[in-house]
Amino acid sequence: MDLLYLKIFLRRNDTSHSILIIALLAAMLASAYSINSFLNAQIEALASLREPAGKKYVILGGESISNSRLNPLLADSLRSLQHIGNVTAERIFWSNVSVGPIRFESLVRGVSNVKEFLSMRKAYLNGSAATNMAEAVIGELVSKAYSIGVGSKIHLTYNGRSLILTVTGLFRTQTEIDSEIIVPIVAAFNLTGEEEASLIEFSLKAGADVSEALKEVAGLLPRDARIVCTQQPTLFARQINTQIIRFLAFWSLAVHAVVASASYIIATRLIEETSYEIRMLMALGARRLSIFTLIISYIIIVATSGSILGSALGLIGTQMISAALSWLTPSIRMAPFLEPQQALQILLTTIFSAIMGCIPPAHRAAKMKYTERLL
Amino acid sequence: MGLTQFKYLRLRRILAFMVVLTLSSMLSSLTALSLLSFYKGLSAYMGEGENVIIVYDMGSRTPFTGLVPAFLADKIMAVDSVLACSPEVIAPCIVKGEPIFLRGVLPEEFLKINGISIIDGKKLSPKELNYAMIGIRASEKTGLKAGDKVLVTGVLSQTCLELHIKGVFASGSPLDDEIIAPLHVGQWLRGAGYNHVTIIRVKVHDINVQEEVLSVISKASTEPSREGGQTQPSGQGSFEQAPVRWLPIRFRAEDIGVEGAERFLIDYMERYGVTRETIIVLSAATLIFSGSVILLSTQALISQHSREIRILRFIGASRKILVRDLTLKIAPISLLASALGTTLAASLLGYILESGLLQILSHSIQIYLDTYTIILITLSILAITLLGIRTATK
Repeated sequence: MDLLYLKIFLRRNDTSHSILIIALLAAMLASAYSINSFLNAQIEALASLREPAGKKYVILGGESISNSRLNPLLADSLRSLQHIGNVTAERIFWSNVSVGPIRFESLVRGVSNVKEFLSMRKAYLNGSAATNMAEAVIGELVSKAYSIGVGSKIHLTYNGRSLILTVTGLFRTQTEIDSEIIVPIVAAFNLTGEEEASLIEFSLKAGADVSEALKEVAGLLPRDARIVCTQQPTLFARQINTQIIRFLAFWSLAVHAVVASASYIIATRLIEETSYEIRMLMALGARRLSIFTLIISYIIIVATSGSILGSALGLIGTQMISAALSWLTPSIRMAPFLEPQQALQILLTTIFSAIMGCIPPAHRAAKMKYTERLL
Repeated sequence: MGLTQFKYLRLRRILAFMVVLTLSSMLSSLTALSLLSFYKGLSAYMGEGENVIIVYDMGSRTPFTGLVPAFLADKIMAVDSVLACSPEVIAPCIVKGEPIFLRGVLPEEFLKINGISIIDGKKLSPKELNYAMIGIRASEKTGLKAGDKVLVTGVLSQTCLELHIKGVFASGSPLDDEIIAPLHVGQWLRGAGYNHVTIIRVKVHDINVQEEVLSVISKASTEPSREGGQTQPSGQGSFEQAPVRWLPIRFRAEDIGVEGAERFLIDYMERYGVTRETIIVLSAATLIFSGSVILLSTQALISQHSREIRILRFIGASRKILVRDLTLKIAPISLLASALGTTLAASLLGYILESGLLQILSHSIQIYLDTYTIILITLSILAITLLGIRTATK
C-alpha cells in the first residue's frame, strides 16, 4: 500500500531533477576520490621501487640511541635464531673530545671488531683499524672538521671518566658513521663504566619469513625494547597519503552539508507541491508515521539513484578530462579510478546526509492538519 | 505599482534559503581557497623573493627526488652576480613516528637565502656534525625542543642515526615543517653519496643570470670525472670550511635545469596537471554543481510563496514588477549568504590549517585569500539566484 503511495511522489516531474541535483554533488565526491586513488597508487608504486631486498633492523632500549640500554648478551641469543643473519651489538654515546687545544662533542661508537665493522660498512680506510683499548679510528668528517690525522692523540671524557686514544686510521663510508669515532667495544665499556649496548643491529637471512622472524626476535626482547626497521618508503608513502585523505574527508564534510541542504529543499518542495495528496492520504486514514516514512523513503530513493548516477558521472567525467589533458599535454598521464569500497562509501554517506536533511520537513509534514486546506 | 512595502516573504523560509546558500557558498569557497592555498604555498616553497634560482634534475618525477652533481655549486659560486649558493639535499625520514622532510644544507649559505628567527636554542654552525635545527611546526608535531636527542630513520636509505636538536626556528614559510641539518646528514638519508645533492639554490643580483649559470654547467659537464677518488678535497671558496667533500663527476648538461624558484615548482605541478587554470576550472565545476542546489532552493522559496505571489498578481502586479521586487528582496540575501559562506570557509580553513590538521607532503599550507576568486564566487551565486527567480516566475 505504502509503495503505491510512494508512486504518487515518484511520478512527479521534479523527481528526475532532484536525482540530478544529488547526482551532481555525488559526482564531485566521486571525482575527488578517483583522483586520490590514482595519486595513492602512483605514490605506492614509486615507493615500492625503493623497497630494499635485505632490510636492516635495529633493536633499541630507549627513545634515542644514546639513551638506549640493552644487555649485550641479547646479541648472542639472536644469533641462535634460524632466520637471523648478521648481528652486531654496539655502544653509542656522546663524549667530550679534546685534541690539543680543540674541544668538541662527538658521537663515539664501540663495536666488537672494528675491522669487521668497517668492512661490513664498505669503508675506505686510510691507516689501520683500531685493535685495542688505546686505539680509535675516526670518520672523515670529524677528521676534516677538527683537523685530526693518523697518529693524533684524542682525549675522550664521559661522566668524569677519561681515556686517551691514538688515531690509527681515517675512514669514509658516506654513511652516518663518518661523523663518529669508532673504538673497540671494551674501550667504550671502560670509558662509560657500563657493560651495556645501545643498539643491536641485525638483518634477516635471504628468503626468511619477515613477520615470523620478527615475532621470534620480539619474543626475546625485554619489555622496554623495540625493533626499528630502516628504509620503509611504502610506510612513508602511506602516511603522506593519510594527510591527503584527511584533507579529502574534511572537504567531503562540506559536500555532505550541501547534500543535506539539497535534501531539505527537495523534501520541502515535495511537501509543498503534494500537500493536497498528503492531506488526502491523511483524510483516508494514513497515520502520521506513514507520511513521515513516505517522505523519508522518497528521499532514500532519490539519494540512492542520485549517488549511483553521480558516482558514474564523476568517474567518467574525470577520466574523460584526464584523457583530454593527456592528449593536450603528453607529460600529464592520469588514470583516475574508483575503488568499490569508495563507491559504497559515497553511496552510504550521501544517503545518510540526505536523510538527515529531510527529517525536519518530513516531521513538519507528518504534523500537518488535513482539515484546514482540504475544506 | 511598487511592491516594496509588501512583506510577503516569510522569515523562516528566508532563513532556510539563506542556510542553503551559505552552505553552497562555503563549499565553493572552501574548494577554491584550499586549492589556491596549496598551489600558492607549494610554488613559494623553494625561495623567498624573486632573486632565487634553482639548479635541478630535469628527469626527476618530484622536486624532492632529483640528483644534481654537488661540485656544480663550486662552479656557480664563481659566477660574478651570484650572492649565495646553497647546495641542498631534501630527504624524507621518520622522526618519532611522523613523516618529515629533512633538509641537509651548508648553514652559512642556506642562511644567506632564508631568513629564519631562532625561537629556542641556537643556530646551526658549520662545524657541527650531528646537530640540527627544527622548524616550529615540526617541533609542535613531534614534541621536540632544543637540547633533545632524536632518532631519525631513513626512508630512502638504510640509515638510523641520532641528531642533537640545537634550536627551534620560525621562518613563516613551509620550512617550518622541516628539520634543517648539515648537508652530509641529508646525503646519508638520501643514500646518494657526497657527490650529489637534490638541488642547488642560488641567490643572484639579477634573475637574468640563468643563461650564464647554464653555460657554466655546460662547461662543467665536459670536465673529467674524479669519482672513485677517496679523500682529495675539492670544495672551493666558501665551501672549503664545509665538512663534506665532493668530487667532479660525469653528467649530461641537458639533464640539468635552471629556473626561477617559483617557476621550478610550478613546472613540477604542471606535469601532474595542477595549474592555476585547472584549479579555477575545478572550483568553477564545484560552483556549477552546487549551483544546482542554489537554483533549486530559489525556485523552492518562490514556490513556497506561490499563494502570496498569486494574490499580488490578482491585485494587478505585472510579472516584470514581481521579478524586480523579488530580485530586490532576494539579491541582498544572496550577497549576504555568499559573504557569510566565504567567511565561514576562510575561518574554518584557517582554523584547520593553524591546528596542523591539513598537510600536503608533510608541509602545512598557509591560507591564501584571493580577492578575485571570492568576488567571482559571490557574483556567480548572485547570478544563479537571479536565474532561479526568473525561471520560477515564468
